[in-house]
Amino acid sequence: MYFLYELERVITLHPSFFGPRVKEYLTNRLLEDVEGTCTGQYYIICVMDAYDISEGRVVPGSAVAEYTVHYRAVVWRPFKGETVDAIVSSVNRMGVFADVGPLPVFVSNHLIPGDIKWDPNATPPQYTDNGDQVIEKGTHLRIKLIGTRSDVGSMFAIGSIKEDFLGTL
Amino acid sequence: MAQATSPTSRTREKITGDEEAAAELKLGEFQNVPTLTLSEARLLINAVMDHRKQQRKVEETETLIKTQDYLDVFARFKVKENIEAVERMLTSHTEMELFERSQLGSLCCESAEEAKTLIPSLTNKISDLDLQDLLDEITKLRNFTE
Repeated sequence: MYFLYELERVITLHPSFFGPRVKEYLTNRLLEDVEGTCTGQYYIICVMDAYDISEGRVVPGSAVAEYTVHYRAVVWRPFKGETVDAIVSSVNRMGVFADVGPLPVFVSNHLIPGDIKWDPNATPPQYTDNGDQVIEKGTHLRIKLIGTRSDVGSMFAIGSIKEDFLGTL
Repeated sequence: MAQATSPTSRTREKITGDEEAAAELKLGEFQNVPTLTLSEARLLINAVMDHRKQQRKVEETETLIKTQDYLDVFARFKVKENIEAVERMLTSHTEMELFERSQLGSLCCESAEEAKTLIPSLTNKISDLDLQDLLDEITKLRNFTE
C-alpha cells in the first residue's frame, strides 16, 4: 500500500559547506541517502519535500553541524494479507516469480490452484489450465501476500493465488 | 516512602512484526498515515519528478523506475479529473479506513463480493448494497473516459 509518510533524518554537514546554499545541499544529500532505499519494512519511492529543516547544531568536539530534516515521502509498504497486482518475471517447476514494483514475490506451486498445472513442454514453459488461464513471463497476476521477509536493504515476499478472485487478470 | 526516581531502564521499543491487513487491519506505525491509490501515487510521483527535472539533473533510482513502470501498467485512472472524482467518492465513506478506501480505488472490483473477499477487513463495515453502488460509480468513471 502506498503511503504519504512523514519521516525525519539527521544529516551531518562538513564546515566546508557552510554558506548560503546549505538548504539546497541538505536536500540533495537527503535525496541521495534515502530515495530508492528499502528499510527492510518499506520502500521509500520518492521524496516529496523537506518541510522542516532544523537549525544546525555543531557537534561538540568536531566541527560538523547536525541538521534534523523532516520530510514527506511516497512510501510503499507491503502487508501480510494485502491483495496486490503483480507482473510475472519467471516461472519454473517450483512456482512463479513475480514483481510488485520493486518487491519480488514468490508464489509456490502449492499456492496455485490445482487446475493450473506446470507445462514444461510448452514454448515458453508455463502454468496453464488448458483454458484461458495461462501464467508465463509477463502475465498480470492478482496475488495475496502471505508473508514478507526482510534483509538489510531489501525485502522478499511470498504470495498465494489459491483463493477466489485471485490469479490471472 | 515512595519517591520518584530517575528511570533506570529505557522504555521498551514497540513490538513490531505482527502487522497485517487481514480481517482486522493492524498496520503498526502506518495505522493513521494517509494512503494513496495506484492512480494517485502515479500522478504524484510523475508530478514531483517533472518538477525536479526542471530544476536539476535527475538520477532515477532503480526502485523509482520499477515503481513508475509498475504504476503505468496498473493505475486504472490516468486523467487527473477522474482521479479527483474517485477520491471524492471514496473520502465520503468515513466508515471505512484509509487503507480500505485506497484498496478499493486501486483494485477496481466489479462486485461487492469480490471487494469483500480481496479486502477482508471490509466485511462488516459497509453493506453490500452501498459497496456495490460505490463500485458501480467507480466502474462508470473508468469506462466513460479511459
